[in-house]
Formats: sequence, structure tokens, C-alpha cells
Amino acid sequence: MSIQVIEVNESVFAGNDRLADETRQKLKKEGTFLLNVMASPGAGKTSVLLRTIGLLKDRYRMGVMEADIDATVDAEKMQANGVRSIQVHTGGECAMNADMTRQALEEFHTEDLDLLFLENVGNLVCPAEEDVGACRSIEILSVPEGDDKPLKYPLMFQVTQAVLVNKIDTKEYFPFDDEAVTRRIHALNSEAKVFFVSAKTGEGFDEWVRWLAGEVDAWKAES
Amino acid sequence: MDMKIIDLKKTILEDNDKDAELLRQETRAERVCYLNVMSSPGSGKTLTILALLHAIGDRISCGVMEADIDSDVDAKTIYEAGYPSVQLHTGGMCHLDAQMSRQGMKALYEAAESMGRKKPELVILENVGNLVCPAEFDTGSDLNLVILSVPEGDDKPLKYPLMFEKADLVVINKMDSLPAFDFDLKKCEANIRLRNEKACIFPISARTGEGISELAEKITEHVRERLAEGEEK
Repeated sequence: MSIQVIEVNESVFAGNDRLADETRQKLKKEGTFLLNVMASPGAGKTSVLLRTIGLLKDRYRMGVMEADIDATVDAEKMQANGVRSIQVHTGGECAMNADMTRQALEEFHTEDLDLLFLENVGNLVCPAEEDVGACRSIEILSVPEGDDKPLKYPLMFQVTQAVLVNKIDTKEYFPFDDEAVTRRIHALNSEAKVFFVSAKTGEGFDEWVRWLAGEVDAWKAES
Repeated sequence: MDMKIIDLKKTILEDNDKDAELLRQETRAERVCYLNVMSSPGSGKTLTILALLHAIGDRISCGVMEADIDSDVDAKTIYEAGYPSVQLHTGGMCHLDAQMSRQGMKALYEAAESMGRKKPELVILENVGNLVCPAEFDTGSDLNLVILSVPEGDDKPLKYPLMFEKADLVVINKMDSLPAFDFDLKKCEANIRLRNEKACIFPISARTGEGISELAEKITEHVRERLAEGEEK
């Protein structure tokens, strides 16, 4: 059988790479590691961050920038858990870019932080296109979304250094093939780390947090 | 509680409203009903569409346009179920607009013809999986259906307001997985109502078939109205 494929024209957006590089230099000088966290809506970004922060709280000074179109529910959740956070409203934009991130950093005053998380807008398309100036980027893919997502949103899996497969505690409800998803991710990005976790039960977090701490420490040692 | 909010500047996007209105007039004149299905990635758009096709496909001629950044897995699934389908690649774009819809419909009509089927009375668009951008671009559709799945959480209407404002129908999918998640259906409905007083809400499970007949009935009703409108003219 043959499926007709139609290529629709893409408009070209202006690059913001220079600004992103400036942010990276500034963060380097201040010793703050910025992790860009991306995922679909409802994949569990906030829950993953809360558990991660809980596990690393004796090791690093941390903060979270919550980016959303609207609402303050995530920043409220962070603050209720004693995590320093701000809510960033993107004015309808589907992703944070380097300029927005720079504005948010200026407002948040992150100089004293070791590890800063940016919880990007829930979206598998636009955030992958924007370099925000982060030191590393990760993608959280949740089991209910399905193991075919790397096929449909390839860029997201190419620009991230690690993929967290979240909600593995719900596997009895959803068909999900660990091996297939790993293969699809590695076909796009052979160096990507893949961690299988559940933010609800804590399963798999030791390995993920060990990797993250390793990245933070290595980056700080370079400074 | 003291919450710091930073309102960042919004860029103004190209306006495609005029083109969408034109497409709506064209499809109405052709007595075609155009249903735009939107949701996050992995909320179950394809499975819901398949369940709908099984429910109404013998009464109404249907065709499906699958929009994705890459791959053709969804269009294959629809085709293998026996329905005309085309895969639209958006070239990296996060949504479909009216002009892209028009290109897709033309191709879909050709696909139906090559399968020996009559021209679709119901054209279903499976938009790019995204709760932001597709809400901003009028595709020229008659009906907007938004799917929110239980695993995503009941707070999504708060975070993605425009999507829920634009919906005529809101489907709450994966109801069979309710025991695995802290999802409050009443709270979810209340959150939807904050954004949209009129939208019909359908809790379903595309996997088990729960709630599909009610949804199918609503869509059938709409298509019949459209066909009757054409006859009056």
C-alpha cells in the first residue's frame, strides 16, 4: 500500500542562538547549571522535578522556572513544597526562547543557585526548535502517550541528552514497548540516555538523579 | 501567597482567518462537514477517530487527514481500517492552517476516488499533537473537537485556555485508566466550564468503546444538519 505524503511549506523563524550562547556564558560565570525540561502536556514534568529536587536537596541549591501560557498551578505546587520558583507566562507562545529565558533569569536572580530547572511549555514541537541557553536538555515521555512518539516528533529527541520515560507504574493500562521506544530514540540520537521512571512510586529515580548530578558536577568542574 | 508572574511579550502571528472563512464557505457549498480533532501528543486522537469511523462509517462517507511533523503511521492505520486517508507533513510546523487544510482536502478527495469511494461527507483532520498552536489557527473547520486524556490531568484547561475556548466538543479519553491516576472528572468538567460554557463534554474510552455511541450520535447529527442545509438551497 502507499500512503500519500504531502510536504507543506515551512516558514523560517529567526534564530536566537547568539542570545542563547550569551545566557550560557552568564550561567557559566555564575556557576548555575540550567536544565531545560520539555514534554507533552501532562507527561509529569512537575512531578518528576519535585521528586528530583527532593533527592538532591542536600547536595545543591535549586530553583524552578515554570513556563506556561496561563495559570500558576505549577509554581504554587513548587512553593507549597518549599522550592524556590517563579511562574513565567509566555503570552500565548508555545515555547520559551532565549530572550524570554533571559528576561526570566533577570527577574528570578539565580546567581546563588547550583541547579536551575526550566519547566518549558507542554509541547513536543516548538520547544525543540528554540535554544534557550540551557546547559542540558531533557525530554519526559510518559507511558500513556505511546512508544511511537519519537517517530512523530523527531526533533525533540535529537536535541535532548536524556529521555525520561515516566509513569511506568501505569503499564498495565497501556501497551508500551520499552525496547521499541529505546530503539526509536537511539535511531534519532545514538548518545541519548534513556531512563525508565515513575515520579509517583520513585522507581528508576536513583539512576536518573545519579546521571543528572554527574552532569552538573562535570559542568561545574569545567568552570 | 506571593506569586511572581512575568508576562513576556507576544509576537503577532500571521492572520489566516479570512482564508479559513473562505474554506468554510467552500466546504459548506460542497456539503462537506469538516471536523478538526486536536489534543496533546498521545491523548488518543487516532484511536478515537477509528472508533468513530467504526460507529458511523457505514452511514456517512468519511475521510481522514493525518497531520504530523514526520512519519505516516497514523494514515496507514486509517487506511488499513478501510478508509480514505492522507498524511500531511507540516514541514516542522506545529499546527495546520486553512491553506494547508485546503491542500489536504484536495488530496483526500483524490485518495477516496482512487479507492472507488464516494467523496467524503465528513472530513476529519487529526491535527498535530499540540495543545497550543493548533488553537491559534482557524483551519476552516465546522467543528472543533478537543481530546484530553485522563493521564494528562484535570488541570489542563487551566494551562491551555485557548484550546478549550475553541472547542465545540471536549472528549475526555482513557476513562478506563482512571484507577491509575489522580483525576477528578468533576473538577475537570468545572475547569473546562471556566473556559467554555457551551461545549459538549463526552467522557469516553476509545479502547473499550465506552461513550463512543453518544459522541458518534452528536457528530452524525451535525453532519445530517449540514447535508439538510445543502438540500434546502
